[in-house]
Amino acid sequence: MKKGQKKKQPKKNKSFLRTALLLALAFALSSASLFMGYRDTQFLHSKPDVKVGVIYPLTGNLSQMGDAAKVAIRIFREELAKDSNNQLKYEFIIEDSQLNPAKSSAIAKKLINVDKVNVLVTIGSNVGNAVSPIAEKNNLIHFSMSTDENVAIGEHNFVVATHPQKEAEKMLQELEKRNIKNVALITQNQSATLVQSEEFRKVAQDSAINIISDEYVNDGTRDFKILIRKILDKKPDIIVIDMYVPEIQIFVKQLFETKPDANITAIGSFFRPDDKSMFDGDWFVNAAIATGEYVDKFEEKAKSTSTNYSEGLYTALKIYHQAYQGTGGNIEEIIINLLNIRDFDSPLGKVYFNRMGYLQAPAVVLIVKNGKPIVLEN
Amino acid sequence: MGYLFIMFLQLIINTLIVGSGYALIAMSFRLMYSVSPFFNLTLGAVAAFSAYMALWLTPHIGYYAIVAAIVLAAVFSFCLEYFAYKPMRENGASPMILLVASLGIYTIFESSIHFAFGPQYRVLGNVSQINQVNLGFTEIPLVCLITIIAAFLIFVFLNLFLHHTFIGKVIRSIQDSSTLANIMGIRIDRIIAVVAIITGVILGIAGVLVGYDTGMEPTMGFNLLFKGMIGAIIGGMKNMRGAFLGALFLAFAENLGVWIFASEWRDLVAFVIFIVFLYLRPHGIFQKKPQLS
Repeated sequence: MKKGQKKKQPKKNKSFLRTALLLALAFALSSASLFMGYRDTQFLHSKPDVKVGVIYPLTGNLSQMGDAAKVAIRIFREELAKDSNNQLKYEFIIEDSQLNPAKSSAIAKKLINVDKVNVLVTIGSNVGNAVSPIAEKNNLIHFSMSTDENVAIGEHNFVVATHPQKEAEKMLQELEKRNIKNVALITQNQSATLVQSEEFRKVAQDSAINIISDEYVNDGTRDFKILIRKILDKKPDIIVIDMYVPEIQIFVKQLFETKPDANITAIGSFFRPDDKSMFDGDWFVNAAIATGEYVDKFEEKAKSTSTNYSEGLYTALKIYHQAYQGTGGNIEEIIINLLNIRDFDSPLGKVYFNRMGYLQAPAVVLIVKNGKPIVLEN
Repeated sequence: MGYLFIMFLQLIINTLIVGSGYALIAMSFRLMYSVSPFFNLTLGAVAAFSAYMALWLTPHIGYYAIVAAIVLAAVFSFCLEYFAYKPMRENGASPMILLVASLGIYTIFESSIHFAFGPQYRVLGNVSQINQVNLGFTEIPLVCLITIIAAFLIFVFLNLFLHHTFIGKVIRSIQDSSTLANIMGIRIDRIIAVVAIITGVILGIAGVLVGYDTGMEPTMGFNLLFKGMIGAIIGGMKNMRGAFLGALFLAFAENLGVWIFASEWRDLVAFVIFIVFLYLRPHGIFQKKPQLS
């Protein structure tokens, strides 16, 4: 009996170790997959002229932005390949930001020190704020798809989005036009949405519009029922929503469950979900959206109707490409060119960077019809 | 006065809606913990699995998908127990090792759901066709009413099951002392497997109801489990009544927090209450203080 026990014990330990090892390996693999980036393979034998480090969410709720970015890069590449005059070769290294500023700043350092990139592209104000000082310090051009003007601080940082003030002014204009007086504002605690709603509060201050309810919600909130009651009790004429997915969809679903005829609008938010059918018939204000050839190419490649802000990345690459011409890669000259380009034809319309490095693009009023946003007014 | 009364009723209704969802998870967590005492994070995965199975099967078999998803959740829960935790327990894994293993399995599951269904938010049913039930002073969605009824029925069922059936009594004896139960010849592994199936069914129901009510995303499992666990701990882990009422209490505190302060402080209010109760009554609100022998 004792002998048997002595022999059996090491076997048990071994089997346990094997199970633990397998689990650890599986865990490591699944974790590694979260951090793995994506790299072009066409430059294994030739050196690219420009290396672009793209820090986008590739996993999590907003990973569709990363997927859309990959499509934008494909479109940019294919257009370059068709251009017989083009001499420039680009390499793209796409890393997963998970929209986490700390992680993104570590990725930016790795892209600069290990991959030796020439350009950084980020999305999200929090990520942009984390990466912009690093780009400035390392003398690298950084394009950020964000709404926080602080991201544009420094010579090397450029914000590729409509300024939130323009969206706020457009919203105010539209509310006044529709004779709406009392609004309830609901904002998600995210840097971009906070900046947008703050701009709206500023412009509404000196107007006839009263913000009678001003609520914030955190990321991950799934139950809005009591909050909705609280908002509806104040009897607003309209609820102005500034939220991300999936919170926006859950909020609107629960709102319609409580009051099916609730009047809603949004700053940007209705543009964010892939499926916009729940907002059918509702108007909203948004940053300049992609139109024309780019949308057709995107829809063909992505099999999706939502470009997920990829037009910003595409616009940044196109402007950079033009600014690079004739500079031989001299960064100071590229920056001067970027600031001097005027009325650049982009999917966002005719755009240019102001002296602060903020893209000058219009805000638009849209209406959702059959799940598709249609421009009502530029 | 009338306004305050209506608002109070609204608060109670919201507490019941949210709390019932938490209670389903809390009761599953508490039941599983009674026979396999570790923080099993994969319970959240079982609920999420059920929601996604319903999503996947609904276009093929319609509303039968709900039953199929619940059955599959029970099978999934049993498989997790039989193929993952049972071998580990046999090899002498401590509750800490089991917790880490459940974290690993949960992460693999979440990544797999992400890979198979994408990261997008999904919802079961047609959002534009919301079935409402009129309660006189307010209307609530049918799915919320079903959640409340399901939570109460499951609470009654579990109480009857644990106190009036042989297996229920065995489960309680394992909870009191697994060593003693083992000496008495009880096949603990078999009982844990039975409990895994029962919790799988309850979590399956919870997952489908959440899928219809607030929708689903790959990370939903952990969020669900988190509040359920807190509810169970607040109420007291020793009995089912504690888990059930603890979940309702947590929901009430959250809703009151939103009503009095702001929505963004909802979790803060809930966690302050949680910490205060842990400090004052570490054994739970609805449980007697353990006697020192």
